[in-house]
Amino acid sequence: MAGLFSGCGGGGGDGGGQIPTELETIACNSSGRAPVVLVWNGVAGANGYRIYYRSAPGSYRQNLGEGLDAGGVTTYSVAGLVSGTAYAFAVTAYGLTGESDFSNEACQTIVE
Amino acid sequence: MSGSTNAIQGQFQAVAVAILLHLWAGGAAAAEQRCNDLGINCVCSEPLNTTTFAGGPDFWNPADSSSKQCSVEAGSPGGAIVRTSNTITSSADATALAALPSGHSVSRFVRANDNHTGTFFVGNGTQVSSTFVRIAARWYIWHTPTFDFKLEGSCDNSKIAQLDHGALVDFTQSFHTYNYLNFTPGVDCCVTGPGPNASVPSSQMKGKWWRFEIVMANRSGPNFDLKMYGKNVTDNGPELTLIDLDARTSVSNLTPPGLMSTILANNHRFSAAGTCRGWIGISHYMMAGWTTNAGQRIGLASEIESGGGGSIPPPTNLRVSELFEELRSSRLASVPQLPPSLRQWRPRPARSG
Repeated sequence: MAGLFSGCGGGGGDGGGQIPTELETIACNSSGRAPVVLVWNGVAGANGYRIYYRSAPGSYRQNLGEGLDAGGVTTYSVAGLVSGTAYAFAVTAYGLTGESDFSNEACQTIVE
Repeated sequence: MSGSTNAIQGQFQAVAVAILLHLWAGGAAAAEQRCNDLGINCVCSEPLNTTTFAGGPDFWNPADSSSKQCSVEAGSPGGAIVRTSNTITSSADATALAALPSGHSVSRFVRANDNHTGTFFVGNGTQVSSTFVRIAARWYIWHTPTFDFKLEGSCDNSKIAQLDHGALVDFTQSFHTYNYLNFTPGVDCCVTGPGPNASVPSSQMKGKWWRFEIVMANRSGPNFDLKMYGKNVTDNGPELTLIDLDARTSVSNLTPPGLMSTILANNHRFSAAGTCRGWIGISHYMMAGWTTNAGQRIGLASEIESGGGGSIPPPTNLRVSELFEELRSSRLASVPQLPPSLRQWRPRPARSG
């Protein structure tokens, strides 16, 4: 399975190494066509998952609690992304006790 | 008779001292929950959620804990704050408190005067046992909406963190670490970072609370490692890797002149021509250490971010499926049109047999 999946150094872990060349863009070493299909490892106690994404340093476009609702599955296809733009994605789990913190980030630059 | 009198006086003095100590600690909060959870791995904790600061004129001891206190210098135990201009105050600024995540339990934090300049350290600068091969410090910082960082307004300098042997982190239109001239090899890295997310616009820090965490490993070298993480907790932004010495080869093989222990919030500012506008607030500084270097972190303070974390752990191993790309470009290439909606696409399990 090695090589089948790619991530980015967006935050949280020790990975990365990309240095942004412009102030308002995301460093991303993975590219592909839209839609972006995300997969993740689920967690116990989750009733569902929400997807958040951003195309610039800083906050996600969606407020906490208002991410794209993937329901109870652990994969989601994000459509409506703009070609030539790098996106960073994160996912949360939600359940009876609220919403989790963000997962690690994955990124993808959208190409034609 | 004389001996009996002395004994009584001694007992009285002991009781008086105990009463004074009790009164001094009265109303003091305990170390933060994360420190209690970490047990022996918690080096020190200063929630700074207090109205009282003992000491002065240089070293200040917040009355928020009586054990596991942080000290900027060993000569002033418990002096977790150094502010030579004597303008430390306990703040309940409504704008700042309203910018903390919902559900927080903070009522006070420490701040300096408006338009402050000069020395303003918070944290622990005393030596941490070398048995901890990995140490970290975490704090929360508020920059007022009008805050001037370096090169803004007439502000000439603004620091973020102070390390041992002169090494620093500051913010000059981006986060960067520098002044490793006392290390081997001696370098004065870096204009930006090094780090994948070093270029944060200052507008995203003004009027916001950020959680900073610095982690150090290989504390005596070789290959001294420093990582700094930052998260805008006001907007619940993603955690960013602001500094990563592994990210650039010129600073990835440094050997310090001695054991690295100091991780201070360094809020020094300087203006030759005028003032540096605005002010900084600090909350929930703590330091921890581990005997292994296995990616441990302090992470969030539940007193501040209890509403954001919930009790459900976050999903892990999020990645973009390249398997889908391979399928689309090869096996599915003959399919005339992909389904209009790929929402909740799920890879088909492999067949057995």
